[in-house]
This record gives sequence, structure tokens and C-alpha cells, in this order.
Amino acid sequence: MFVILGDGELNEGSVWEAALVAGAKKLDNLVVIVDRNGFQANLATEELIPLEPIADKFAAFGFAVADTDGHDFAALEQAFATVPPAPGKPTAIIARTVRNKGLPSLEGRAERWFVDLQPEEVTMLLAELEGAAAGPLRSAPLVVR
Amino acid sequence: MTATEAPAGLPSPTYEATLGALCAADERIVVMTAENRAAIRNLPAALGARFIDVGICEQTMIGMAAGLALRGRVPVVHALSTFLTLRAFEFVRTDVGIARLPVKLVGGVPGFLSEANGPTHQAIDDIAVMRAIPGMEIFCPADDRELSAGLPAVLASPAPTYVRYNARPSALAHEPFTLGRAEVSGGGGALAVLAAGMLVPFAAEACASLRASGVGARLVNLRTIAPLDEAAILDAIAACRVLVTVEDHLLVGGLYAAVAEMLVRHHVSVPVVPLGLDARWFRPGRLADVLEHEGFSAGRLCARFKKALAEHGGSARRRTPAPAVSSIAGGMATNRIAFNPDYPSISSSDALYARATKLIPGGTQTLAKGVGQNVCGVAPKYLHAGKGAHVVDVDGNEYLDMTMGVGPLVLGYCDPTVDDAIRAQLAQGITFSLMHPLEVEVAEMVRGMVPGAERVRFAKNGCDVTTAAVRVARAFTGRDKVLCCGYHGWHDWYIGVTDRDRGVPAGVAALTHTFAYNDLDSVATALDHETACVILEPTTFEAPRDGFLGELKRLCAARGALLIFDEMWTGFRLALGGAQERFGVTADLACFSKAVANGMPLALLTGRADVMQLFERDVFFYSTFGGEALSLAAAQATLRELRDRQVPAALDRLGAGLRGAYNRLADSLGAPFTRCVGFGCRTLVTFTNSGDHAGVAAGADPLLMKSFVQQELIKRGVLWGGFHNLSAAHTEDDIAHLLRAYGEVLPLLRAALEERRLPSALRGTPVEPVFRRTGNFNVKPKPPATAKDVPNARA
Repeated sequence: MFVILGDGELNEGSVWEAALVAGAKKLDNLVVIVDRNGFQANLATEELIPLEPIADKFAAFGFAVADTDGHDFAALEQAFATVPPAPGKPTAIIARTVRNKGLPSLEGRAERWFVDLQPEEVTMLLAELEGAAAGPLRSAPLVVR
Repeated sequence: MTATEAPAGLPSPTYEATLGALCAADERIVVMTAENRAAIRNLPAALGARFIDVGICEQTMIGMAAGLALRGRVPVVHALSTFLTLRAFEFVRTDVGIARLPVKLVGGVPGFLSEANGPTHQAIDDIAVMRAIPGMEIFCPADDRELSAGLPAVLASPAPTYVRYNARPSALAHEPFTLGRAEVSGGGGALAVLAAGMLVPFAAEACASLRASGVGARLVNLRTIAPLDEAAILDAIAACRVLVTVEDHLLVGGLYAAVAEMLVRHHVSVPVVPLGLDARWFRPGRLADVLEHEGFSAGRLCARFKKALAEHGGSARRRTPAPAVSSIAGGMATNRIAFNPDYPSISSSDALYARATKLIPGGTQTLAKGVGQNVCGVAPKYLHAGKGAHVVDVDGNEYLDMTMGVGPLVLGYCDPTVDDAIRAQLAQGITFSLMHPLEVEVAEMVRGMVPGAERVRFAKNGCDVTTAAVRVARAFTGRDKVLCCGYHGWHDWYIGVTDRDRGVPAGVAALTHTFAYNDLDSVATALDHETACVILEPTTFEAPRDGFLGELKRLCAARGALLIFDEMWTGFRLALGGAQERFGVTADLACFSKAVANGMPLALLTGRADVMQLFERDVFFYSTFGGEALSLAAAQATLRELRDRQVPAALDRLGAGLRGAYNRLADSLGAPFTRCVGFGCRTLVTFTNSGDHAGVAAGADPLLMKSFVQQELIKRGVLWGGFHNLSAAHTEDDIAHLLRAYGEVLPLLRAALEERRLPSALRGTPVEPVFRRTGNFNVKPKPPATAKDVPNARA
């Protein structure tokens, strides 16, 4: 059973209720993947309600934890292949990621989620996904909502 | 509300600017968010510690907000509507709702405004759940202007409020904002459209198209779903043939549901076409596409309005007109239960009173209804219709009634069950030549409800049975003297102790003395071998202390006197079995009236068989109307309703909430000199001018303070004599309106006191002293004949 969580989502109390139960019930068929990109809607996570050390938190709740590069498919594959790494324990994979990875114009930029893109900008970004270099959008302000 | 071509006046201040200005003016306001800053990006820098971002945890935020509200802050909290109203629902209900704390819940992207978000983010059930919380206000601004215009009133309201955030601009120009009052445009004709929130501009455009094509259409922008402007809706029904509700919400629990519930409650049957989301989520997309697809663009609405008219606008439909109360109150020149711009016109009241002064001494038949208890020149003098807890005066002004006929209307005016029972009996006859079966049936019912009711007799007014009780106590004990505490009516045996004792023979007056409530010594000193009975109101606003009532019973029994409870106010109200049930003390005799027949004249005397059997031959107590059947039929229905609907417990809860909210409000407004006291079913507002809490009221005249509050409440559609005489018809909305009115009036009172201009702030003659307080009459003490006769120096 694979569950993907955003890191900002870890603010919610219900996440930790579920983690407590998963540990208590020894759900070793459960894999929680945290998309750890460091940002939530408006701010960097560590500026508001700091989450680190995330790995220690999950370990304290009874999880076997793997802290990985979320863009390293080989590392992820290995983590998935060894589930459960510890019998009787649920698994948490902290996947460290960079926002908008693979779109050089937008990669790592701190603007918020809700960005309005013009049709020509979408075309440029699609080209970047196919391997084009960063376009003029890299230095343009984004229209955020 | 009119659509204008050019922008109407100045550009609207943004939500952020309006909220920021309110924060600058009122340091109690705290802005909070669950990491939802879209509308308040600049407030963190401006507010410093008064801005709290808790992260994405709505439940925790509500808990914190409730705590801050308990400490006198006014938290304005922000989150996406779905998570604010649904994820945190139980926190809102329990932490904020039960305590009625002034937490302002601002929900982002409600309804169609979530646009391309999927069902997880579509708040289309938010109004349903918020509406279920007692006392919760729901503000649905039509556009950015209305949002900013309504915000001051929302923050000033002492109630919790849910704001369906909508800052979209529109071409509408609005009337000044009054919380709870709808904005109406267009006259009468075929169609009335009821809408609230972001769909209002589209509905306005659709209505304009209809009018341009010659079809009459009225648009009612409700602005708040709770409180709901029922008068505006009933007005619209009177003026139009078909009603359409427009909402970006599920049909379950939203605007349509609120309107439908209200129409059933008012016994109004009219075609209503609901336009909303019928048991499904909407298809996500850009707003314009969503509106078009779901049928809410101006063009699609116009077509749907025409279809509604074609299907329901024919002349063959059945329809029951709106009740008299609302249609009378709907005229343009009259005030409503709202924050009216001016004091009501009372010219018809004054004209009637001018005729009465030449014909009816004192003007009134009931002291508390007369001009002495109401600010002359401002307050209405004559009422002519009532429904539930609302009344209409002879000038057509409507009021929320907190006096309720000075007690009888325990179920409210024109209770349908009681009125049906009266009508059914009316068809059979009113008063007969022999006894009537209802005498037996109602007596049996009373025996089953009232502790110690071994025997039961009927009469008309409360003073009939207090007087009969005193007479039978004298006969039973062979003694003449009476000790009393409270108000017991106009008869010689009692009224001789007051300052209005002319015409009472001195020999009779000398037989009655008063004692002080909760002062057992004052009774013990006076209760001698000549005392036939001790009669008292078992409580008024002060609770019995240290087993006072039980001790009183023991003392009476030890000295051979009878204990009589005057339960005019407590009977069937404090508990079904009155004070005897509530406090677990059974008196020898108990007297009832007021609540027993919901407005029909009936009084009860109950008590011990060995005492009451004296009425068989020795004591004469008979009258023509004692067994009159209309009142007995009303009593049978009333007592059944009180029992089955558990009305006493409901009044206790409602009143306790009101009392707590009033006192918190007074404290938060810097007006600790006023307090709300008493048991839930009937509380009293007091004003003190001395002691630790007097503050700016030190030395001021309490009657002037009371008069001023009454004057200002009248302007806000509340008829008030200092008491909260609750009925089963008083709704949470009524109480919320009353508290909002207090929220405006107490600061005015405080300001008038601070500036030492209370007398000039009064627009009429002040009220006179209330003619009754247990243990502390506003009457002259009776001069003692001997030192032994002094029952209590303070009386």
C-alpha cells in the first residue's frame, strides 16, 4: 500500500494520528512517501512550522525510514524493492525533491503553486520538458493567484 | 442594488485594507490563518504578534481561536472553506459554537470559486453544516464592495460568523449594509429571485434582462443566510407569483433549504424553483466555463427563470398568503426586526392612547403593559398581532418580543396546536350550564405534573387563587395573619403592604407583613401563633440559598402555619412541575396562572387534600367563569406541548446561553455595570450605579440606563422591558439578533455615561420603577405596630 504525502501536509494532525496507528498495528505492507520539496502553499516549510528532523519523527512513530534523493530513480527503486526493510514496521521514504524539476525556467523557484500561464508559456515549458534550455520565463515574474 | 455602467463611486477598498483598518481601530482583533494568505499577504508585517499563521492545521487553529476569544480577543481566521467548515467542523461546533464565541471564520474559494479544483476542494456543503450550529451567522457577500461594507458589522457582532469569502468585483452598487437585512431590487410581478454570494451579480443581470423583456422580476440579495431576512422573503412572496432560489451550494441544507423550512414554518405554500447543485459535485474548470456549464451564467439563468415561470407561473396554482404579521410589517414606512435607520413611527399608538386617557383610568388593565413601563414618546403603546415571538404594533412596526404578554405566552403567539384546540372547542361552545368534562381532564393532567397536587381548583387570574389560598389557609389554621414575599396581586389582603394601599381597610392591611427572601431569620422572627400562612414566589431571579425553601417548610410545619408557593412565573416554566419539582420542596398549597394556557385566562390552585377539602362547604370560592371551556381546552393543549416538547428544559438552555453571552458581551464592551441574572426561562438585565463594577455608571440613575437601552432596542426591532421572558417560539436567530442589538446599544450607553449626557440622550420620558422585587420592594415599608411585628427592616 503506497501513500504519497506532501511535506506541507505534515502540518495536519490527522497525518500523525494515522502514523501512530500504522506503527501500533505493525502495518509493514504500508509505504509512506513524503514528497519533501521544502515548500507549502505560501512559504518554505521550515520558515513556518519546521518539520525537520522528519526521518526521526517517523522513526519515533515506529516506522522504518529511508531518506533518499527523490529524483534518483535507482535509489527509489532499491527502497521499494526492500519493502518491508524491517518486518512488523511500516515504511517511510523521505523523497528529497526540487520543485518543478526538469523545467529549467521554473526549477526551484519559490513562487506559490497557483500560477497563471499564458498559452505561449505552456508551449515553451513543454519544449523544456523535451530537453530545451531555460527560456525567457526564467527571469520573468510569474502571475500568481 | 442597481447595475451601473460606470464604476459606482470610489473603488472598493480591498478586504485586506478593510480588515487592516479594523485591526488598527480595535486591538482585540487577531488575524489567523492555516497557511492561507492569498487575501492577507501584507497583514503579517502590519500586525506583528497579532497575526498568527499556525500552518496547515485548521482544527488546531479553531481551538486556538476559541481560547483567544475566551480571553476577549476577536479572532478572524482564514482557511479554505472546505477545510475550515468540514475538517474542523467539530472544533467549530464545540469550541466556538457551544460557547457562542465571537470567532470570525473566513472561508476561501467557497462554492464555484474553487473553479478548477476537484471535489475535495469544492465547498458546496459548507452552509449546510454552518447553519446547523446554533447562533452561527453566515455572511455571503455578493462582491468585493459588499464584503468590505459588511466586515465592520460582522466583526462587531458578538456571535460566531462564517464568511463565504468573495472579493470578485461587480457592477452592482449596494444599499448600506445591515447584518440580517436583505437588499431588494425590482418591484413585484411574476418572479422573485432569492440569491446570496457570488451568483448575485449574475442573477441581477438575468433579472434585468427579464425586466427589459417586460417580465416583472424582483431580486432579493439576502446577504446573510443566517439570520435570514424572513420579512423580505415574505414580502417578495406577497408581490410575486413564483420564487426561485439561486445558490452555488447543494440543495440540501443551503439557501433553498433555509427558505423552504421558513415557508413551512409560516404556513406559506408557494411555487419555489431551486437552482443549485442537486446531489452532485460540479465539473471543475475556469469560473466562466463552470457557470455556463452548470447553468448559472446570466444568460443561462435568464433562460431558467423563464422556464420556471412557464412551468409554475400559471394562475391555477394553489397558494396560501403570508400571515398577517409579515405582510403588515412589510410596508415601506414601518420598522422591522432589524437595525432600522430610525425609531418607529407610533402615531396610531399615540392617537389610541389619547382616546384612552379620557375614558380608561390608568390607560392599561395590566400595570406592566402601561405607559409607565415604556419610554413614552419612543415605545409603541398598542400591539395588535403576534406570531411566535414576534409582534406587530398598531402602526405596523414589527418587534421581537422579550416580554411575551408578561408571562402567558410560553409557547409563543398563535401556537398552531393550542389555537387548533381553542378553535375545536369554540365550535362546541364556550361556557355551559353544567360542569364540563375538561374540568376533570385538565385537573387529572395537572395532578400528574405538579408535585403535591392532591386536589385542584380552577379560576381566572393569578390573584384569584392566591386570595383563595390565603382564605383557605386562614380557615384551616384558625389564624388571620399572613407573611408574604413577592407580588401576589391586587386584592386587599396583599396590596395593603404596598404604597398603593388606598381603599384597603386598615384592619385588613394590618394582618399582612413582608419578609426578605433567603433570610430565614426574618421569617422566624415574625412567624408566630397568629400566622396562618407564609406565601412567597419560590424564586424570582435569586436562587434559594442554604436550603431556604426546605427550611421554610420545616419552620411553617413546626409553628402550625401553611406554606404557599405563588408559582405564577415559575409554574410549568422552571420545570414542568414548577419550583416544587425544580427545588424538591413541596408546599402545602401552590398557585398557578400565566403559562398554563398560553394566553388564555386560567389559574390553578393545587395542594393538600385535607386543606383543599374545606372548599367543599366551609370556604366559598366560586365564580361564573371558573370552568370556562375555551381556556381549559387551551390549557390541555399547552400542558401537553410543554411536556412533549420538553419546553422547560429548552428554555433553561436557551436562557442560560443568553445570560452567559450577555455578561461576556458587557465585560468585553467595558460595561460591567450591567448584568444578566436569573434562571434561564426568565432572566433580568440589571444596572448598578455603585460598588466595584459601577465604573462609568457610578451615580447614574439605573432607571435612565434601562430606559435608554429600551429606547435603542426599540429602534433595533426589540420590544423589551428589562426581562427576557423566553418562549418556545424564541429561536436561536432571535437571540442572536438580540445579542447583536445589545452589542450596538451597550457601547452607546457607555458613551452616554462617560460623556455625562444620559438624560439628554433619552428621547422620551423614562420608565417608572418596577413594581416588584422579592425581598426589596419599591414600595414603602409597612410601619410596624410593635417591635415584634417587624419582619425585616429592609422590606
